[in-house]
This record gives sequence, C-alpha cells and structure tokens, in this order.
Amino acid sequence: MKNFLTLILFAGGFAAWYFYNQKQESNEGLQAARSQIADLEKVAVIKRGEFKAAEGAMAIRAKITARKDEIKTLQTKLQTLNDSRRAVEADKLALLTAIRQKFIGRTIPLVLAGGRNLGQVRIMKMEDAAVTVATTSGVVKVLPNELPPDLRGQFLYTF
Amino acid sequence: MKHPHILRPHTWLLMLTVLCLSSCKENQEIQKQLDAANAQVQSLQKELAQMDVPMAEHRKTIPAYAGTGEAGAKQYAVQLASELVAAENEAARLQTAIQAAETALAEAQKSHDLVKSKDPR
Repeated sequence: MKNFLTLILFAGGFAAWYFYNQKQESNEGLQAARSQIADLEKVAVIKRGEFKAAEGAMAIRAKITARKDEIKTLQTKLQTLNDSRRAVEADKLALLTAIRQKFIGRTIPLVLAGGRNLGQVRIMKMEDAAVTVATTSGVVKVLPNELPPDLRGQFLYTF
Repeated sequence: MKHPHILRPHTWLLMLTVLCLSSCKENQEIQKQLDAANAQVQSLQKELAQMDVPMAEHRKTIPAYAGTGEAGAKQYAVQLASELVAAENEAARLQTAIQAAETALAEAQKSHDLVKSKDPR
C-alpha cells in the first residue's frame, strides 16, 4: 500500500512538473507571438499606408495611359478628317479650274459691279483670285467681287 | 479505523486525476491562444508578403524625386493627378477639334458636290 501511495505521489509530482513546464512554455510562446504581432502590426500599418497610396497612384497612371491612347486615336481621327477635307477641297479646286477653262477665249460684254463698263472683253485667264480680261485699252485683272453677280455665279466664284 | 479517509489510495488517485484534468484544460486554453496568435502572425506575414510583390513593381515606377514610403507615393499620385487633368483637357480639346473638322469636311463635301453639279461636261 505504501509503495502504491509513493507511486501515486511520484506520478502526481511528475504530472505537476509536466503541466507546469508545458504551461510555462506555452506562456513564453504566447508572449513571443504577441510581441511579434505587435512588431508586425507596426510594419503592416506603415506598409498598408504606402501600399494604398501606391495603388492609388498606379490607378491614376493606368487612367493616364488609357487617356493617352484615346488622345492618339483622336489625333489620328483628326488628321484623317483634315486630310479628307484637304483632298475634297483640292478636288473641288481642280474641278473649278477645269470648269472655268471653257470660258477662256470667250468674248463677253463686261460691266463691273461698281458700274465701270469695260465693253467687249476677251477672257484670257481665270484664276481663283482674279479673272484676267483683254479690253480694247489693255489687259485688266478683275477681282471676283468686282464681277456682276450673274457672271460671278456663272464663273463659279460663289464657292 | 485502519486508514483515514484522506489517505485512501483511490482518494489520492481521484485528486491526482482532477488536478491533471484541470491543468490539462488550462494548458489547452493557453495553447488555443497560442495557436490563434500564431495564426495571426502567419496572416500578417502573408499580408505583408502579398503587399511586397506589387510594391516592388510600384517602387520601380515611382520616381526617386517623389521620395520614398507613403509620402513619396502620395506625392507621385498628386503629380499624376495633374497629368491626368492635362490629358483629359487635351482629349476634350481634340473632341472639339474633331467636331469642327467633321463640320468643315461636311461643308467642303457639300461645296464640292455643288460645284460638281454645275459642271456642264
């Protein structure tokens, strides 16, 4: 019986030491982990702030890139439109020149819009800026706005 | 009485079992807290590692003159915001110019068609 009691006492002592030791180790581990959490939290707060600000900056940067792409597209479109307009205008000018060519050499009576009578004139040259005519007294350059309205229309100076 | 009640072996055994169980329960509780703390440490480390990967790329993009850290990133964001405003203004200006160019083209085309209609050939 005494041996049994001694065994129980020994087992009790061992168990007490074991549990105490385990508790100490766990407590130390817990303290270390809490300290590590505190340190990591400090680092995390700094990094989160930097990360958030950097993410914001990158989002703006992505928007700028998208805008720049859009600007390139718009510039190309504008260039195409301007080229098309220039081509149409050049075509129109060529057409006007071709149409006006048929009047060259014709003799017509010409009274300018201002009332000046040039008499019978022969059309020598027709340009965008002026009509050159030969009168009995010499060669006269008549500006389109000096032409009477009917001739201005006929010579296509209304465009 | 040959043995007092307190000295009976089964009483000691019972006391020992109760002591062991209570200590075990307490240790388990501490272990749970430790596990939770370790999980939190891992979670924080994971979060930091996840932030480190894109941050390494972001830091390459952020110019040195902007500075470092949160202040540098904010400074860069302010600079980019003004660039964005300028880009948006440029885009708006181009939109307006395109509208004007479309109108000019339509007018030129109309004028061209009118001249074409006057062509007797």
